[in-house]
Amino acid sequence: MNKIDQLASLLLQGDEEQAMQLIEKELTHSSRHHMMNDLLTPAMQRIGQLWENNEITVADEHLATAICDFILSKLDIQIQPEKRQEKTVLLMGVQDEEHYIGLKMVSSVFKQHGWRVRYLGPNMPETHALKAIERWNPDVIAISAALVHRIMAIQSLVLKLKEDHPTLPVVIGGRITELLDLNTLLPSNVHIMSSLPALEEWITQGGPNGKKIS
Amino acid sequence: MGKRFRDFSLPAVVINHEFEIIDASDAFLHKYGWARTFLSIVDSGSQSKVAKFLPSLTTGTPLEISLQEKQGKLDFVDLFVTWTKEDGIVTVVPKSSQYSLVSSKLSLLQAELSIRNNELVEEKDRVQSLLVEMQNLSAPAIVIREGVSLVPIFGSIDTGQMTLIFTRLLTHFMDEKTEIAIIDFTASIDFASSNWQGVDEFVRAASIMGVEIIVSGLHPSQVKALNDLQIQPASIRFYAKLAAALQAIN
Ligand code: B12
Repeated sequence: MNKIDQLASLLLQGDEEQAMQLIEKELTHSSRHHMMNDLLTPAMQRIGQLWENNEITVADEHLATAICDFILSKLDIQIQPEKRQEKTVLLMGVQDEEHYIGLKMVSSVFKQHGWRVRYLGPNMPETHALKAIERWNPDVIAISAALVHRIMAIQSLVLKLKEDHPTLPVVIGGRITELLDLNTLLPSNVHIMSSLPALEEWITQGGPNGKKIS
Repeated sequence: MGKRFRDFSLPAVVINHEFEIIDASDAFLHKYGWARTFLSIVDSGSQSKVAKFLPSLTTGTPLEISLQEKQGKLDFVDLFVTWTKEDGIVTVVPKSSQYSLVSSKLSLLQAELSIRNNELVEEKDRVQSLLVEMQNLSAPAIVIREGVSLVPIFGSIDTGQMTLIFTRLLTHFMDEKTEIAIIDFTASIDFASSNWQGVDEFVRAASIMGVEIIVSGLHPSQVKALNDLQIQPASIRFYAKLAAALQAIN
């Protein structure tokens, strides 16, 4: 069994201890975010394949998600930012989007780079999101969406943001970026990034102040 | 199929082996509308699962999938099927709607909670920066005349704070071209000699910068304790009273 299958099966068994061990072993020769990109994400996707293959049910998915969430929280505590940035990012999933594992990984990337992270979690109603922006006055707002069905909610939020906060950079990522050509559906002030390495590159190149990639 | 099937209280369809819809219950039409093939109301992420497993699904076994409602909403459901030679009756059983009600309520609460949580995080940040400020205040460095700085220590101070103070003092020495620094403990309650850790390094760094360290305001018993611990660098002068220290440098 390869590492990805091994981790997927540990997550499904709810064996957080062994799952954590496997991950820690990986971290001896891989950075936290490479591990998330190359091991943890594929393991969750593997769980999706098992469901499509009728080998597991949604109850198993819930358990695996809980363990994955726990592991991410545990890794989060160990983060020691390289250098504090006086920058704040607001993270959220749009209304009705419940997939949040990717969002948590994104939070960890920003934290590692010394950003102040305001994690609003998934399924943020638009009014709440706008209130949170007033409240925290972030330098960047990052949005995650998994399902194509969320495109309406994203469009609505992004257009509202463009009206109320025309200079606030917006970053969008998640599975939806692989399913739709968002460049054609959203205004050009929105940065579209499909992966953690892409995000990391954007941040190290100065984020909102650096060169524009999308 | 007859009227009895259409009146069936759950969404149900009759399909042939190519998944073409032959008949549908009113409950089905109400929710999903009419479609030529069953697969077209199945969410894209569930299509291969339906195509692969529905044809051989045995009676009474559920197949867990997502269906797309007329208005685009995704339903999480169990499909049950009874096949005959020509066709199959597919019944759609929603995964407990109670559950989804609770879960949407829950996510609203979660949203509220995460805002509160962020407020707490903000408060923590603020307190932390206040703390640093306070630490600076608990050991201000005062230039009493050119080349001489006085550092009165206030309140009780632990090892971590001591390290921070030392780091800040070294910068101050550099900026102010300090030659002599008096660190006065008169106003510091419960000074523990274990907090003296790191002082060795500090004094060495200071002396490289050409700064002499004088300590005042320690009780003789505390000085003795330091001596006993052998962490007292030889190059420090000790005075019991601040006045004595000031006099000595004149
Ligand atoms: C676990 C899981 C669940 C869990 C979610 C747990 C949770 N709270 O997160 C549960 C069981 C609750 C669930 C529910 C549902 N799910 Co689901 N789920 C999955 C599964 C198996 C894994 C998802 C996951 O965690 N992936 C791992 C993460 C890390 O990947 P990621 O989100 O893509 O994030 C990465 C990148 O995209 C990027 N990224 C993400 N966000 C951002 C943001 C920024 C700014 C940046 C830069 C990058 C970035 O970084 C991550 C790092 O690699 C997938 C299968 C799959 N192939 O993905 C199905 C899947 C996504 N779910 C699916 C569906 C349909 C649903 C439901 C709608 C089912 C239903 N009918 O109720 C509900 C939706 C609930 C809702 N309202 O949103 C479908 C989507 C199909 C489609 N049409 O697109 C999938 C593909 C399964 C399937 N084949 O049907 N699901």
